[in-house]
Amino acid sequence: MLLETIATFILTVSFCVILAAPKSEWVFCGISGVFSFWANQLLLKAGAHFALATLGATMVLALVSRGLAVMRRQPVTVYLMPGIFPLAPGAGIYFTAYYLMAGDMVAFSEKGMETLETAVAIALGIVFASGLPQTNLRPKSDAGK
Amino acid sequence: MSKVGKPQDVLEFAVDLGEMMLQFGGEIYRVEDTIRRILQAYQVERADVYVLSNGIFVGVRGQGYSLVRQVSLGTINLRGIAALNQLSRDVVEGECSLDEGNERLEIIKRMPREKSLVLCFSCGIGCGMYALLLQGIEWKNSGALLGGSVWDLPGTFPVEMLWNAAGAFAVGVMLEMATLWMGKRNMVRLVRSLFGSILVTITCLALIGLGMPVSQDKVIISGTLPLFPGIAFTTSIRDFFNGDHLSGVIHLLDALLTALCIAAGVGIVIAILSAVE
Repeated sequence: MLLETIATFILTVSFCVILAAPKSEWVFCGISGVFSFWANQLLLKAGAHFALATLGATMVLALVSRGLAVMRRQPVTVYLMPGIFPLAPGAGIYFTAYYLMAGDMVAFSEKGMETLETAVAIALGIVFASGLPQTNLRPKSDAGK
Repeated sequence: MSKVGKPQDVLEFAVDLGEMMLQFGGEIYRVEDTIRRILQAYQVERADVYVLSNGIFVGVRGQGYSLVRQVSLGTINLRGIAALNQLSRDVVEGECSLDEGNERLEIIKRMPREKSLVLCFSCGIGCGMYALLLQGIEWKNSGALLGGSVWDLPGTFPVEMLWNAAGAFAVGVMLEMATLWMGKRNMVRLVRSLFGSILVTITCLALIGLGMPVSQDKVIISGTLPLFPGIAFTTSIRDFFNGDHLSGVIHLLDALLTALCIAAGVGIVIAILSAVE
């Protein structure tokens, strides 16, 4: 688990570099990525369906991002965007294309559905996390976003 | 009063800022909100602000001023969004005059990004790490980590994991190099995704051909990760959630087409190669 945490941290930070996140925030982006990874692992270990685990992980990412955004007075996108990459269904898309090319329609539709489920899970995760009213997280003196 | 300029200048400034924010990857509602607040701060009231992912339309009621701005695609620049956000905060809190604001915009526009070498390296590292993660889950299930202590690690570390990570690293670096090259030529994003995934697949297969013991699946998956429309997708969801349905659809379509291009790129190369064999 420790190795994977470190790997996730480095992964998130390396995408911070590519997306030109402010240097001061790199560590925090890494932290939010790690939290979402932990949520994913915890849910999977608890026997949840992989899509549900992704939903949970996305919610954690979105919530942590919003909290960090308020704490550090930065836009939410700074933490949300790099954190999304570990969650993306890369394997899903690859295998969907692969099986289509190989003509294995059964596997193709199976992988395709998985990919779709993951995408929907990510979407729902964000929606649920965004449901929390912004004003509850905002400090009273903060006028802007 | 010297802080407030003519409405046209204010409009220009606000839309300049909004345009930059949009190009850097800012969300629709954030851009609209920012433009509105800036206009209000400089006492231009009653403005209608409508933002699409590739255009900004602002009209000021009662005064007959309006501005239409076409916005071209830019690369994501979170640092830029943060800086613009800070600038708009300063404007709203009354700490920034119009001239100052324009100056700062210029500075932000010229904000340097990381050096290309660093970008390529990070891309490689990111892909490499992802490759490790992809396998780490399987590896952990075999009990290697759970059973022993940290000192057992060097021995139990499957060599293939490292090879895969190295392969993914190489692919990632090539991808970023290609992306930077394509960026200079202003290629359409979909085409960039297509070429990117084609390049990733070819590089991976080349590495295998050269004898590197990597798993084709893992390296290609890790390699295509940076191409992923995760951002476009989440932005579209957030747009929908904020009631910006049209922009949401635009971003969603962008995400879907990008994903399709990635899949197509991989598929084309594999199909050609299996036809040749």
